[in-house]
Amino acid sequence: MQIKINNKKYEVTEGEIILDILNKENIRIPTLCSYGKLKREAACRLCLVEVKGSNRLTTSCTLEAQAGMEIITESEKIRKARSINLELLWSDHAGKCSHCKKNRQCELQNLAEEYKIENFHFIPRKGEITSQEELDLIRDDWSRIVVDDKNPVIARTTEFCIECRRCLNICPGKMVGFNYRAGDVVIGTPYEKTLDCLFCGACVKHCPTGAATDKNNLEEIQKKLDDINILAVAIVDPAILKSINNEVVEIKEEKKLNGFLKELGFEKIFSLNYGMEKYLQQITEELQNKKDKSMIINSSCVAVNRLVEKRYPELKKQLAKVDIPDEIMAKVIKTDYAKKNKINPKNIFIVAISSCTAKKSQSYKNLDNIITVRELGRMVRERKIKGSSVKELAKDEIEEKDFSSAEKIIKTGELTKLVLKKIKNKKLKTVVTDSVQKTKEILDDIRKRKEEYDFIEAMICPGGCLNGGGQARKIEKVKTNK
Amino acid sequence: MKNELKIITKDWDKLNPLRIEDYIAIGGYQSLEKFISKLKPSEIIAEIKESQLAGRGGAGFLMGEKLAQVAEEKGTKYFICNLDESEPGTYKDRAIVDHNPHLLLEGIILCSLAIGAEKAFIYLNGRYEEQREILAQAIQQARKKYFLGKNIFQSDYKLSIELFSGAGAYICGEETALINSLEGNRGEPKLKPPYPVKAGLFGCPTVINNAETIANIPWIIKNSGEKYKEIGSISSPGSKLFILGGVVKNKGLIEAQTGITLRELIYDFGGGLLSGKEFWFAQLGGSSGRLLLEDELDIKLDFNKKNQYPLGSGSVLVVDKTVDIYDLMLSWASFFRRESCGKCVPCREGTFRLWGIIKRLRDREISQRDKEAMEDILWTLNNTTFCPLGKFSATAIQDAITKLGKDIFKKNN
Amino acid sequence: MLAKTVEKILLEFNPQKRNLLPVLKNINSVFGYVSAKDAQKVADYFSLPLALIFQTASFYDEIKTKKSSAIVIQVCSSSNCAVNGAFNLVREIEIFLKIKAGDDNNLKIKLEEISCLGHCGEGPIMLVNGKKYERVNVSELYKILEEWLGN
Repeated sequence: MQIKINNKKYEVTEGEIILDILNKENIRIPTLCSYGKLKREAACRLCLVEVKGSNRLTTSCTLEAQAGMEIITESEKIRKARSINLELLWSDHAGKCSHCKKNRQCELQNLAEEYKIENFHFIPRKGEITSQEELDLIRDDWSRIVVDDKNPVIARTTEFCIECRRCLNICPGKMVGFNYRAGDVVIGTPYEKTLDCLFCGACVKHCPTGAATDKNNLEEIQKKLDDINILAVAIVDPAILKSINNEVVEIKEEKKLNGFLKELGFEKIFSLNYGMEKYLQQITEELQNKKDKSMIINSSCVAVNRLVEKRYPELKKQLAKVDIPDEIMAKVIKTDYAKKNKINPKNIFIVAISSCTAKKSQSYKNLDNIITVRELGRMVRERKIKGSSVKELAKDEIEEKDFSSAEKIIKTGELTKLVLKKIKNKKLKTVVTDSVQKTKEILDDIRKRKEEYDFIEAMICPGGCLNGGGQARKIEKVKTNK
Repeated sequence: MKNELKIITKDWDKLNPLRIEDYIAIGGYQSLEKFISKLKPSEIIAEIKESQLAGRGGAGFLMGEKLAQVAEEKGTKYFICNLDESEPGTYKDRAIVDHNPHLLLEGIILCSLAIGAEKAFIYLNGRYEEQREILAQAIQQARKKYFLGKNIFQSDYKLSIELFSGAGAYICGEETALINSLEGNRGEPKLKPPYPVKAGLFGCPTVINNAETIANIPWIIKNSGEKYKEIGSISSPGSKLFILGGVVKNKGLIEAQTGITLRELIYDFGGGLLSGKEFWFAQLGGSSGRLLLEDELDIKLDFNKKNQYPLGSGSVLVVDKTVDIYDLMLSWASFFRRESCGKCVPCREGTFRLWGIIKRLRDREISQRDKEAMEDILWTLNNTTFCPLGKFSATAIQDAITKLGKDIFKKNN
Repeated sequence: MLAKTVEKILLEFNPQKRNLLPVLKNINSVFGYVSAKDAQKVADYFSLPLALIFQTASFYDEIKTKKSSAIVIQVCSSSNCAVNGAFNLVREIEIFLKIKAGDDNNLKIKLEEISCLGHCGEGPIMLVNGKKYERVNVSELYKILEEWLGN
């Protein structure tokens, strides 16, 4: 079946959504509420197109292709509609970018630039209004702001929220809702409670603006990195190599990343694969020594640990008694490595650069801090590091040995494969699962004693750490001629 | 009086709403009996189709068409009577319940049986607690007489009617928002298509009609669709309830033929303006209604789709020249600023910003920037919102700007 | 009669989602609002996430999610009342009581604009804690305020 888009013919399937066709064919279409396979809310009213035969603008995210359809994606009218709607969103945001964590990585900001939203006239300027009205304006804007700065992982402020509902639709625990009505709408937790979830980070990953961001004290970290008395150590999660390029375009492979880390002030850069190998060894040992009837759940996914603690407390003792790879490794660095190199462990500052957000919800004896790929990007931007001047460097090693085979465990299922390979003389019944939904199904079966396993490998992020909540998304930016 | 009509309001002075016997005494439930004893569901629908009865809630969709579409569907179906009635200045549906609840019930029963629904809902405005009581009693009485329940008139037809109260949200008058509300969700409009006739309540084919529309059904079944079609306007015949308000002598509810003019409504029924008042404009159909000037008073009011002055809910607000137009504009703006569901950007942000500008306009002359902003907001409300509420919120303010003279932005203080 | 508890209200309804709004209205009418604790009980009873209960509850005007012991003054600002001077009442109250319509700042008195109650012939309409006053003019307004607030 054929349809016409901007007077060009395209082969499509009947019922295919026009927005998907546009994306597939690389035809520029702006949108803020749709993302990937998430529910199409048709809320942002930016992906508007014209359909021949109708004088109405239609959202392409809800429009199904029909034979003979003729779509126009750019016109005077479409541009006007997009500009006004963007400006309505922008009027809450204008002037706030410089103090926003998502500055330069914000979809709204990019669209505002693309559509040249400079002259925002929905908010009166100073001098145009009386002081009483000015107070009213401030009150109206601030009365709509709800901040959550109490939880350890996710910083939320509706100051930057554009009510796109992506977080609502992606959240596997349905922790946030679309609350109140009209201009008073707040996307947030019920009763404005502090967020206390699995901290999978999917909301932060999908937020188009700075409404949900990674929580941290990056200035404090940077200060430590700059302190010459402190040995700053980076533990690099191999999973982040998949997405770091989305944050810092100049980083295309590991050696360049190492150069950037050095520029930020990290003196030693290790790969987490060492910790992963140790994790494999320790969990294999635990499995080998386990009693016949007992069950072991992997402990490497902190979000799974949290799920078990919150929803399945009776299964808590089944969680493997092994620290997460990052902490195992931090411990080695602060003990054996420190001793060998004659460094006072108190002067070692270890930061894990991770694909995971949930790890931040725990405190650790040796691991000092965790930053996500997005936060690494922010630190680089704040330092204004020029990519061209950054050298390519090899990483450091704790032991002169290749541990890269352990890296596979960033993908769901690989941990089980590697463990089974190591185990001798023992037949184990195992199960592999990811996502909250599927993990709950398995744990429910276990609770109801429908199923028994020796080993359960569960990951909360679909696909495992490779697709972790701390990974960076590609933020599309269309260059415009000024 | 010319164009006067008594279809829905017939015998209101003789009826005690809490006594089913009163309704039976004036021939009530005879249409239902006629249906059960003589007619097939398809014949009922044919009769309603013949009558050309258009929905009285505002959109004016032909009721017979809706019924026919759902009648063809298989499986569980629902019929919903929309009694949310939250358009400002409108209380016609409430008046029907207050005076003759059984007329409404008979209409609901006829429609439900015609489409093959065994369950009907009445979605009431949350504030209509007294009306809920009246209807609850009426349902009890009808059940005792076997007009409702398992064996209606000893036949195999069965129907139960459930009362469901809203909780204060204007948008729930929109059919898909109403369905969302009934399903336990936020009352946000759903994407159409699918239309409720295909996938409505709990995903089942559903007919939703305004209470006033339904109240016409017993008459049509009793007297035939052909007779109904002879009443009033050719393009959308029948009876219409109007609520007259503002500076007219006789305020309140009027039943008249469609095709009546505003002039007839105001001067024949309303007795003209209060003494000393000079007509400025009339607003037709609540806060979302258009404004009509003196020279437009002879336009015929009906549900013809081509009519540029939609009848809407049928409320008429007559405004004289002493009224502070800025108060009225603020009333409209503040209504939609509260009642937008908040889902789509232009409506949520647009109604909010518009309200701010009109607040400023009410206090003093506004800047050129504000005027341009207002134009942009009205444009996007008209062209890009998810549901019709956006358009509604722009209508009256747009008319005030374009029709009430260019002086609207010029303030003396 | 024994005090009505949330548990008792819940038992009057099947845990089907379509009973959510009636349940919330019921709780609201007994307790004046739906507290976080009660909302959690509702969520558990219906096996629905608390966020869903709250987003539904907070959508509707008649369901309150915050406890308030304030005297609530509501003025209808719909067109019929507006042309009869409703906004003058709002302004008068705002200045006299030093509060703003829609504000939560004053814990003792709240002023709200509300939509049409369908008593359009008798406007402007004003409600104080649900008690209805018709054809309110400025001098009557002060009598009403005195009645509720003392001098």
